[in-house]
Amino acid sequence: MFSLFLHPAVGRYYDEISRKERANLISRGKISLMMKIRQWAENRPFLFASGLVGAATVLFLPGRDLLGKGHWALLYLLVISVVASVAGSRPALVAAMVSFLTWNVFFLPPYNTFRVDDPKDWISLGVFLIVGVLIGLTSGRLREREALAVSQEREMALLNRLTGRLLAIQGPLEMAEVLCAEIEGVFSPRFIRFHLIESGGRRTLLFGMKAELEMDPLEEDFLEWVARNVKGVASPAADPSGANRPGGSGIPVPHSTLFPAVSRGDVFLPVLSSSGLEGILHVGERRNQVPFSWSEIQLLSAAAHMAGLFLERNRLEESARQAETLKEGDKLKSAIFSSVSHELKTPLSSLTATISGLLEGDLAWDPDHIRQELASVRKDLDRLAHSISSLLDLSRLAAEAWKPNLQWVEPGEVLGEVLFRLDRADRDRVRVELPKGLPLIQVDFQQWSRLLMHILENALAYSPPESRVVVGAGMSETKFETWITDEGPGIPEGEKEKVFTKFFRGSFSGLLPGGTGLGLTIALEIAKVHEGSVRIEDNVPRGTRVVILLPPAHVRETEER
Amino acid sequence: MSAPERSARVLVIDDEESIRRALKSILSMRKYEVSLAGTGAEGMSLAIETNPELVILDLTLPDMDGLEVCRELRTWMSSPILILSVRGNESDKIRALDLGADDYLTKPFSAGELLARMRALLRRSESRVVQLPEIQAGELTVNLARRQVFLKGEVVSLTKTEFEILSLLVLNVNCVVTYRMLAERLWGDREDREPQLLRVHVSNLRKKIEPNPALPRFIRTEPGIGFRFTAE
Repeated sequence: MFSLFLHPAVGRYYDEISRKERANLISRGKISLMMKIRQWAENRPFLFASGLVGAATVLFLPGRDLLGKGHWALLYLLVISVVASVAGSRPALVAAMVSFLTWNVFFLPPYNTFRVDDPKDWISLGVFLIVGVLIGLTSGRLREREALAVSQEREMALLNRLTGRLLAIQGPLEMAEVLCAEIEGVFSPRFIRFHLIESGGRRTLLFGMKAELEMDPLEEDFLEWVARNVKGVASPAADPSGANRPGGSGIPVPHSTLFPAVSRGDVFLPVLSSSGLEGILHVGERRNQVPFSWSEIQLLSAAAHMAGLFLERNRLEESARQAETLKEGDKLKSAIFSSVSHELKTPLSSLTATISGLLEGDLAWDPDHIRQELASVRKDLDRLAHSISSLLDLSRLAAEAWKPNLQWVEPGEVLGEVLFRLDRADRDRVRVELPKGLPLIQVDFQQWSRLLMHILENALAYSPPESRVVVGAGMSETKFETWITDEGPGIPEGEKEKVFTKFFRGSFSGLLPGGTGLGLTIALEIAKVHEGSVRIEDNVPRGTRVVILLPPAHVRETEER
Repeated sequence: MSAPERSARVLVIDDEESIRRALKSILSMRKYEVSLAGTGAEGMSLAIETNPELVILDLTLPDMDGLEVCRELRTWMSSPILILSVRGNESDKIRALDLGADDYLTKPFSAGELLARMRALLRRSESRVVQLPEIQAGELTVNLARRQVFLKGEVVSLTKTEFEILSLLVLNVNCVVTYRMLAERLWGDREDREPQLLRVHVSNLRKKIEPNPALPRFIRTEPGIGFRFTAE
């Protein structure tokens, strides 16, 4: 069954556009009137030609005696050239014939008969007919050539614009929007529908302009036929310029091929790419009911072809992107797996060894020894707990559940909590340099302390035991910065960026136990959630300086002092 | 770890057998009388039977919500309730504290932490009867009866609000004091208001009593919940 996939807001948008265009035309009243006349003349060229000559005659008659008969002939020639310029050469020929007769009947004595008394008038009549016909033919041909040039230019412009716009477009829906808008601008059809054919052959209406117009009962059959035969359906008018009807297998067949009694003005075109049928472009008949010409059908086919290429490119890009993500995901999974198994198995096996040793019962352990063993058990457990909480952080990070619960706090409050959670030995290594009068910062207390904790733990782990780690804070222009420096080996220039990637462990980390390689990744993610950043610098004279920046929006000077 | 001031009846409600066993061994070694329950229903009937002086309650129970147990117990029992929870579940902690729990401990915890919290809670429930006139924490002395505060032997002048905050924190030494408890004490309202005003008062208080106000030691922040006065 036909499924309607149309964003209501989009439909409204285009209604507004066409309303705007209409308003615009009305504001240019003269042009609109001219266009109306021209349109009418184009639709009924022979009626227009004879009508105009008739009207001119009615206008001329009252002043028949004011001018000579020759002058009236000249005025009739003027009328013929107007017809030629508006409606083309054949109507102009009709106008020439009619003028020839009316001039003869009404302006050459004796009046109201076809008889011509003066033999000189016979010559005038003959010349008049020849001149009239020549005017009709030349100016009409000129006009047709101009019209052809204009339409070619219009078509070129359409294709150019379409190419340009398609380059900047993101997805199929946007493409269909742009395509429909361009076609609407050039042809003003009653409606345009863009059907997408999915890989399984399922057809969905991707986008439609004036798509709220009901589908007629035959439409589904036509769409089905186009999808099956990969051929367009159109009944174009014979080209006035006499251009040859194009040949070949790809050309649309008339509606009557499918339903002999049916005559319709709409056009079904397959949207093709090198990999097959991508969709079907269905353009309704023009609002002015002028049938499409062959060259216009070709233009529409070219536009549909472009859409097909776009859809194909889009699909290929999409699958390339997916493959890339999958590859990344695989890499990440195996990295997680190896890191997790290492980080969880190492302390577990040492725990098992220690405890089973104590349980062996073949030796009587003295309490001091037991205490020592238990201290190492405790250390292993801490390491396990740390790894698990890092992994939990990571999974929350992956689940994008990091919504900060922002509140205004004093920088020292958070830092105090972080220090409080450190081991006594580690705490003694940290020196805090917080100046007076620090501003308040707006952070998620828990997350911000996780961030500081990760960086502080890194600094403590990657620098010699006993060496100092200094934590400080202050304003740097409008941003609030917290920095943590250590006296470790520092991070080589090439690794400064990489330390933030998941599971990266620096060249020195091989020497050290523990560490999931997640700490800085998590820290950076938390900083990002706070619209902040983390920067790694060299500390002078040695070691690393990690700077955490908070943007001005998260900083507030305190009222007092 | 130092021994408790006296032995007490403790009820442990936790669905994890290993945790129950660990708590049992930690607590019985220190002369606490321990009863164990694995479900909420069992816990509540044991609470009626043994009339514990302290309840250790895990929030995840197989038969009912730990918060529900907490609410039920509070309808008739005045003994302190210590909540065990996992990290990052602030809203549950706050709800438990609002429902009458007295403090919480985040898993995994060490025996030392647990015993310190229990001592603080038991001491507090006793001091509800006998109020301590003076409390000493490092170089800070708070005399509740005379409403005086000394830092390194020198008098510290506090505003009325600051003293009220400090006295509530000090009375609950080592126990968490929620924003709501403070607001009730100061302004007598039970409404949930922005803790920002409280935070400003606490910040001023810290400037007066903390040896290093930029890095608070006595009045610690319990993110999203309140404050805790640490004397250790």
